[in-house]
Amino acid sequence: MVDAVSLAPEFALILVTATVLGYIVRRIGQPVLIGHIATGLVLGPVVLGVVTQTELIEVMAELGLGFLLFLIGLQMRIEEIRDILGPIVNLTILGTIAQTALALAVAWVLGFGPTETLIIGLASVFGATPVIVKVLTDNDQFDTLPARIDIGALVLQNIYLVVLLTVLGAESLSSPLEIALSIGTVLVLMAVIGVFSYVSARYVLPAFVASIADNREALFVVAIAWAFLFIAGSERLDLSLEMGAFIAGISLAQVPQSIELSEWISPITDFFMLVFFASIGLQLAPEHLLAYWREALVASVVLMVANFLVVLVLIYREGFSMETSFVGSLNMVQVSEFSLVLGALAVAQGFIEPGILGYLSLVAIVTMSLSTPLLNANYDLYRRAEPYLSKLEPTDRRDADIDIHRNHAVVVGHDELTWWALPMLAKRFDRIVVVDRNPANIDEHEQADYSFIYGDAKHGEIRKAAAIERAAFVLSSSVQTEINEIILEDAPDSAMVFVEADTPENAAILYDAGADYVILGDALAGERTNEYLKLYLYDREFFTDIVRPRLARIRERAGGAHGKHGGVGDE
Amino acid sequence: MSDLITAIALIFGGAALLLVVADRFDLPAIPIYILAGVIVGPFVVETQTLALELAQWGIVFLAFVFGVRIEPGRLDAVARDSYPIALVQLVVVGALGYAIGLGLGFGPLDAFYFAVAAALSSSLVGLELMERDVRRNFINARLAESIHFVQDVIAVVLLLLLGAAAFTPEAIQTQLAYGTLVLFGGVFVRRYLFSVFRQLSGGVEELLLLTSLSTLMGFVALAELLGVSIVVGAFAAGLAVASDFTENAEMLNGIDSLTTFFAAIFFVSLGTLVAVPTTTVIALAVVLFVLTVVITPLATIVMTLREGYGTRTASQVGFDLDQVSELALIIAIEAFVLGRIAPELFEAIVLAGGATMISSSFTHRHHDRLWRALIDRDRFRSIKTRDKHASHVREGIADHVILVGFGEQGRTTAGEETEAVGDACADFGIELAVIDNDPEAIALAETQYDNYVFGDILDPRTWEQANHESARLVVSTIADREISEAVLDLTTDIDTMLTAADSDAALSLLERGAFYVNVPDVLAAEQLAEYIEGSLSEADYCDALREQNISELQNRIT
Repeated sequence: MVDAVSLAPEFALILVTATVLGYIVRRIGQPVLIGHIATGLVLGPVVLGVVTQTELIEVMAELGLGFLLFLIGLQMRIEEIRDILGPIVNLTILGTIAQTALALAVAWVLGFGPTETLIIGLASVFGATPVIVKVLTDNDQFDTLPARIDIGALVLQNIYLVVLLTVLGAESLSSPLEIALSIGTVLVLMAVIGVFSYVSARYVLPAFVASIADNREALFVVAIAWAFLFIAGSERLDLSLEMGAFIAGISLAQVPQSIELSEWISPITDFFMLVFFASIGLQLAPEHLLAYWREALVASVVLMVANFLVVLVLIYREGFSMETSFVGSLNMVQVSEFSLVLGALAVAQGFIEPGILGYLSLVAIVTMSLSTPLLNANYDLYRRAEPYLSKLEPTDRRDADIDIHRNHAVVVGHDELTWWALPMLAKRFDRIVVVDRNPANIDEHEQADYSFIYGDAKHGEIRKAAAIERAAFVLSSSVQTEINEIILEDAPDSAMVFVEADTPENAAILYDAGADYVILGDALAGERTNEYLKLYLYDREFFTDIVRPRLARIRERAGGAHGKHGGVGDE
Repeated sequence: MSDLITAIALIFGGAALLLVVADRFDLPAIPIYILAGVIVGPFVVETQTLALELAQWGIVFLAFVFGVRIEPGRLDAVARDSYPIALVQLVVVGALGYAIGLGLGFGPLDAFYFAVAAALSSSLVGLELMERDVRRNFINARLAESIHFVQDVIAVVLLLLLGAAAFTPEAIQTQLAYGTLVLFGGVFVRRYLFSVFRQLSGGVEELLLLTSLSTLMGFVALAELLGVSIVVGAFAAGLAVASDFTENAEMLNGIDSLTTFFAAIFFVSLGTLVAVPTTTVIALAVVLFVLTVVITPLATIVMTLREGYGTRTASQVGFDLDQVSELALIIAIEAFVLGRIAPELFEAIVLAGGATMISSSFTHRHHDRLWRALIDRDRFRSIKTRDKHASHVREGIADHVILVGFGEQGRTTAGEETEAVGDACADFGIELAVIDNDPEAIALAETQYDNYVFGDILDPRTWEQANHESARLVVSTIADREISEAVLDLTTDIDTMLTAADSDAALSLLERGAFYVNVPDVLAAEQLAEYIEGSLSEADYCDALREQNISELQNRIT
């Protein structure tokens, strides 16, 4: 029993410090993640020494990892990278091997012992998702080919890292036999969980999720319960909880609601991961952090350059243009955030001393902060290097076109209004994307010949997936003014945007926000009813003749004509 | 550590299973969490301390979100009516609860907790149940929302007072002073600082979410420092965070998702604190149940009628308040943690909370049957109403048109609203009678027409007033199935022109005998077809359309 209603002060301190540092790193153009790592260093023994690791912080950090892996699994939608899957698989396998070899070599040259060298080598995989995603999104490069290659490679690399995490979690790594044995056990257990998750993803989850899909809260709680079912299960089997969370995520990733779900899970993940990154710093005494600072600096610079060249060659090898290879490789010149996860685990397992974690932290901070300006300038740097590099590139080499939405029509919400409008838009636009959050319509959408995204347009992920920022026409039948305002903000100036409003006041707000036309359903209906009323009062029979065709159309739509498109009004 | 993970797995696993079942019956989530807690309780005893620590976060986030969601001025229009209703209901049920509490042999403090649990109702459950009406801005929803708001504010004040170290005048004065300080701090930050944060963050949403959480932490720490309940601190933090959705969408999403997560843990943990109930606990819970489910609605209905609203509106509002408040549960758990409440009373409050939240969804679903039973008995005829929402219909009116609903669509249908449409009935020398249950709408009708009836659309007496037997046509502009069906039942021999939300509903109304049914979306789609065609083929078409619509809009905005 707690003695009074109160909250952990150490956590409050972490949160506030992380916020302040967040503003500072933001000012100097660095990703917020750097601020989180710095938070631990500032509050921990390295600088102020005011916060020590408590049980609560450990639990929260652990939960953060669980949620992170769940989220990563949830975002593993294989079909999104299917068109470049082959090259990405090659890139990931060869890249990971090359990166590990490089890191091993550097660690060995720098004079680390055999176990340290091994851990450092394994932990120094390159490419940090939070940094890359953040910077590229800010620079509007998220849908470029290099970004797609990078994200795809990181997704696959995560699978490897999760396995690695599980292996490192094993009792001891003293002999090759034990390592092999533990890898074997891990693989077998993974297979067991994997089969369970595959079977449920295939036969159970979609129907189950669909049955509660209109209940946001139930869906959310079920998703979390699903994650913890696997987490607790893996723990029972002595696997890492990360493994369980990851597999739980993958099995949920294949339902149409997964983008929506990841929007709900990611704030919780950020919340707990903040504690995780801060807790790394809390573990480090000053002497640990700086134990190998020279080595860390040397390794950072050497690895950044070497990795850049290796990945450049590997991407180019897969037949992409020099520009794509250059930018794609440059984006990935920072150590993965998993480096810290693996390092922290290795310390906990007693494989390495905290000094090595200090080394890994320094490498992470240095490579992440150095890489941010490089990412911001990625295409500029290519322009400068182009005169030299283009000599190496045969003139006929061109990237395959990737499939992205552009100059398309986006329809938000699916009701009778948009149902009648769709066939007309189909005549005008090659491509239509429908965003709808009503689970009852999923079947209808999946059979239709437009692209369909399940989710709420108020979520950034969903709007990004619909590529509203590149649309030529947007029609929103949502009457939520705030959603329409966001849509208007996202849509390019050149796009024509039609939105719906429920009151004249809101309609005025939307016109102010730049809407081209605001549909005021009640007013339109009122005008028409007024007309009908006059017709009726003029002559009842005449009115009956006039409305007959419209009644027929209502019957057609209601009488099982869902999914087929009728013509739009001819009067 | 792994104990805690097992506990969380159990908490969410239990909640998930029950929620899936509850979803079939459209039950609200909170009582389901509590029930899940009661069931998994025995399995998580060892980790209760840690789970309770996480549950604290749930309390804090609930209060925080309550503060964030407050939109000053939104419900001002009904405040004059709803505040007296809320206050009288609180005083009546509170006093009765207190007396019963003393009668049951509790000391003054326990009796007070008992009264609080009986008097306050849950805005989370009540407004979730009424969500459809809230969205359509119906009068009953606006009244209920405003009453819930008053109750929630009073709950925060009670949390502040009951958190006092001792119940002496000095201690309470200090509490009040510090509490006011904290709340003003929240308003100050919203006014002057939050926009600065926004600017500094450069629009990075992650940073804004972090800022709002830090604000929460800061205010909670401040509250702790001053010895004020952390719930008050969290509420003040909510006031401090600007809730402009367009600018802070991701931040609000983040707050929402964290709240759902921690609130689930909180409510389940609350359930785990309930052991197998003893007879005393059950008896107490039953008394509380009756007070909440019978007395609160009755008091509210009487008061709402006195304010001059129709019986259906009054009964809808009354039966939206028939559950124990989540804030009353928070008040109870704070008292429990401080050892200030009798454990049996605490358990009874939690049980009654869960039970009333479930029963509330039943009274909501079968509301119209309840309401009919109430008006059939005619108990409420004798209540004197403040006769401010008058009706007026010319004696002997006949061959007239009855217009049901005087909202946007209704006003346009009648005409005169804009220059584009003329007054439909006047052109033919036919009289029009307007029916609406919203005082604001009737006040508007009064300025334009001679005949208007303020009353419930489902109530036959409203129709008698409008002399519907001799009407020529009934036009309903309300796209609500219940109302449309009632109109059909009441007007068997008269032509009806109804409104339906979609073609399915329209078809079923046509089959039940409607003369004609409008579907606004279909009408809008026809118009839209023309506009889209035009905009995509002609360069200036769209600009002209926009100009024209904006100028028409000026006329509509009153």
